[in-house]
Amino acid sequence: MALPAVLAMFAIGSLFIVPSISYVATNLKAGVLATEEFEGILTADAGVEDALWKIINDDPDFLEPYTITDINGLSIDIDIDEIDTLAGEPVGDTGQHPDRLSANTTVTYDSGTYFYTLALTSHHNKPIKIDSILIDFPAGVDYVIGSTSSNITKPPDADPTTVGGSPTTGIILVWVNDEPQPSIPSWGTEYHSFELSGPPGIEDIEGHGVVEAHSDDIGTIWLSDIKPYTITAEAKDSSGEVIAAIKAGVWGGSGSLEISCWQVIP
Amino acid sequence: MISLAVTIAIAAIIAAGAGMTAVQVIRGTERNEDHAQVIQQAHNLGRWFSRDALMSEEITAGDDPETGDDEFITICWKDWESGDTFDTRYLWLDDVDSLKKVKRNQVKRDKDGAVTENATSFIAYGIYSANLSQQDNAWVLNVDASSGQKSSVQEYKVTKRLN
Repeated sequence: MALPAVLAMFAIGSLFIVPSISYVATNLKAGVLATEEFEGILTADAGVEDALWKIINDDPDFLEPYTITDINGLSIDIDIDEIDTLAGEPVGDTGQHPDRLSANTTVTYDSGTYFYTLALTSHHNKPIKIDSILIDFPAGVDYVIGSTSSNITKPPDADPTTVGGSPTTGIILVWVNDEPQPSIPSWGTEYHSFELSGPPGIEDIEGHGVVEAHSDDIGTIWLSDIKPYTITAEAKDSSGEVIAAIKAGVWGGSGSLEISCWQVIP
Repeated sequence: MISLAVTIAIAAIIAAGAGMTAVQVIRGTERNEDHAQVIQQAHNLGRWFSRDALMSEEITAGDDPETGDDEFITICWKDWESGDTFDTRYLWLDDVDSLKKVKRNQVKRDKDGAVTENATSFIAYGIYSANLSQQDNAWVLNVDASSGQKSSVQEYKVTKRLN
């Protein structure tokens, strides 16, 4: 008499228990997947660190894609590329004829404004025409409209052609000159000044820049303080599936390094 | 007659025991479910925050009065090659019994500031509070989640990758 009742209760209980255990198991599986993703991110980050070490130490083969194995049970495919665009603006083979043009940056601060001056000096016996000037700034500053004072923009004192990004993530200023471009006389210096608004004490406020110029006899000149690179690191499991990937953007080389962006992708 | 009474008594004891066992199993399962749900929902919020905070150029805690939404965290970063910017906000929505849901809104803009993507997704529910604070060089998110009679506070500590 009791047996049917007990069996019936077990049957009813099983109706609740099975989906309940399944629900708990699903939650646990979701937790495991999240943990795996973060292990993947940490692993990919280890790959970025390795790439940064190669860049800062000028490893001769650092532009060759390579793989690191057995990091947290995963492998990491790492690719370091020289950047050809910054904020959508073309950046050429920086370091091309760098001895013909030099740049010196001065930044002062007063009452909420950074006064930025870029001095470009020719080391060439013919005029050097300035095609474009690109400067990448850290987060926290904004361009002051109408503040440019320069003989090497066209027209003179023109605002940037592009103010990319945003003050919260860092702006990129680009001045692009149409033909005929303004030029720096042989062995001369021209100054390019503008203002940025922002709080005091922003680190690395000088930013990093790329200047494209040319001279009739030697062609295009690309000048930058240090080179921009992207690092892509993909953490993969034994089947080759990408568990996590990171893309970092850095200015680096010759013992210097600054990370400008760092993204978990997708 | 006596044997029938004994049989019924034994059967009643077994039935009562089985019933109590079933009730305990069900209650235990509920508690486990609640606990798993609390951990899971807190973890969902913590995981998204940890992921976004790693990429951030800037993290802002608290509501932005300039928006009509009730955000409690705003995280911004950029893709410097394309010039795209990403503004990610964590927003409160009312849930039941003083609890709240959390949705994550991400707006992607191109280098000229035009919106190219605007995506929103629910990432957690059953959240009582989520407090973000800065400690030394790290951001600490304390998530207080609740479900049924279970509640738990989970802490997520993240150091921005860009410093």
